[in-house]
Amino acid sequence: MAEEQAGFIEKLLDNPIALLIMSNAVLLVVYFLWGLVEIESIGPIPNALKEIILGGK
Amino acid sequence: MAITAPEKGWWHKKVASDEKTWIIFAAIVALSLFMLMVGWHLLGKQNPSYVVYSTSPDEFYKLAQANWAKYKVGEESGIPVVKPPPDSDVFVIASTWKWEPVLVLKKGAQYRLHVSSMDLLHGFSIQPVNMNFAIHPGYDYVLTFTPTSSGDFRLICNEYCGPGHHAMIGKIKVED
Repeated sequence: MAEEQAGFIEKLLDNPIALLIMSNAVLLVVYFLWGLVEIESIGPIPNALKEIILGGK
Repeated sequence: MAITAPEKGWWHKKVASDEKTWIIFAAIVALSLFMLMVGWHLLGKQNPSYVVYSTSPDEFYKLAQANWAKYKVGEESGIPVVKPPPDSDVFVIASTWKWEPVLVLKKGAQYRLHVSSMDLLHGFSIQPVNMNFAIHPGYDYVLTFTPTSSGDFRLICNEYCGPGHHAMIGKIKVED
């Protein structure tokens, strides 16, 4: 009987070097993108607040 | 990573019952530790919550000057002394190497502290209560803050910012 071909996940789980690289690279990319999204989502000081501070109400 | 490589064809074998028990046990431990983290965040003694706005040093300086002009009650060594009313916005500026203004606050009253840096990264740290925030230039950090004890508190910089870093000490007076 011919040996069954190993699937992609099986091959990946059997490759410790690929797992080592991925365990760093995946987190690096995800945290980097998360940081960019966080920084980009910071809004300016609301105009209403500026008016209160500058307008002396 | 396992010490020895698994035998060929492991992918198609059924997971043994003792291994399943360990997987479930490990999952429960991991979830419990995760929930501890969430619980500590909700129930632990944390820094007050804050929001951040983007700004520029010039804009923040203009807003701070207008704010201080409204509530100024004196001066200490050239630094304005500001006594804002409860439930108001208060502006604090960090620059090499000083904190402005001297704040006079009321115990038990709530304030919104707007803190920003004029030049480089500073650390906003109230001692001895040990509240700490990193303050970057170009951002307005709004801390909702209620002093719970009266007395004189020191505001120190806890991010190294140059030769005058150790002398960067501000003051907050909390009155009864």
